[in-house]
Amino acid sequence: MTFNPNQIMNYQSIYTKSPGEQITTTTLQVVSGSEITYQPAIHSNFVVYELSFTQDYYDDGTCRANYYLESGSLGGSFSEVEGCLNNFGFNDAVAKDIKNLMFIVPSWEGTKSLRLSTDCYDSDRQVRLHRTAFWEGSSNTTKVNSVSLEVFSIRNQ
Amino acid sequence: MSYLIKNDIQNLFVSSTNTSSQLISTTEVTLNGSEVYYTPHPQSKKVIYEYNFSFSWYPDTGNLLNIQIEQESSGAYSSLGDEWRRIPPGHNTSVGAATNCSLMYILDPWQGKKGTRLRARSHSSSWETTAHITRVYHQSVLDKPVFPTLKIYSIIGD
Repeated sequence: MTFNPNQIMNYQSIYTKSPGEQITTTTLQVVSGSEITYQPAIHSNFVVYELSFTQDYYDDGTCRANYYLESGSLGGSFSEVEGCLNNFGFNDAVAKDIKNLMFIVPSWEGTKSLRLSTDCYDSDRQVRLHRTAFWEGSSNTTKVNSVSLEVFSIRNQ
Repeated sequence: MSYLIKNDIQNLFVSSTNTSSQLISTTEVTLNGSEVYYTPHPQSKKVIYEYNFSFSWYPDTGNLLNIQIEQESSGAYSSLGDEWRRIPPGHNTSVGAATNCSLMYILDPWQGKKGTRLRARSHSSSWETTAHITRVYHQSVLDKPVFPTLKIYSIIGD
């Protein structure tokens, strides 16, 4: 059997044009547009997961959010993937940012789901996702931001 | 009949490095997981180098980094030199600057295998940070490793 090393295989993308606004809490929630059910290419040894979304301060200017890549079998529970997490934290900074995450995980056989979950440190350090303020000269003018997800397999050689 | 593939990705290589944390101070260091020895596709017009890493607020509350890309030739590294390839991510905050940095460089191709890496330092001893960890995990102040990721590939075509 032959296969193509060092090339993109089983590419999938999800573009979520108008995700609903999400406010992080101390309870885990799934980032809208981040979940995908995926079967890696046969003979691949890595799966690349790339997600882009926006984050903004919420209520006060301090943010302390966490992001965790989770994987799960179909119908089963999800668990964190080692080394695939991230923070977003600033004090009194009225911070806003585009989050571009790239996680690379070992490949697997069959179908699994991947998703990004988020929570925050406490209720005074929340973050708002998918909607940014300060448009057109006003803090009250906000814009909805899309979410882009790309997933593919590769066999490194 | 033969066909020339154009505007295509070739020779893709990815890596995720299970690495220890790394203090970014005033002494320049190679970012863990950023070094790759890579051979571009012989017909490539550009090489795309992407690197993603996290950093958190230790030992200083804010951070101001200088990052530049270097390439190896005959065993010796040198900066690619262009001012616009030097990136200064930074955050001025009273407590707890923590985020990730997503970098992408578009490079001219080269012949054969060469090393490419990123070098980083802090602006001063008051703006140091620690790479490849989080300082908050769920509702705790806790260091957890964050694996830096790298993607490099050749672009064929105009």
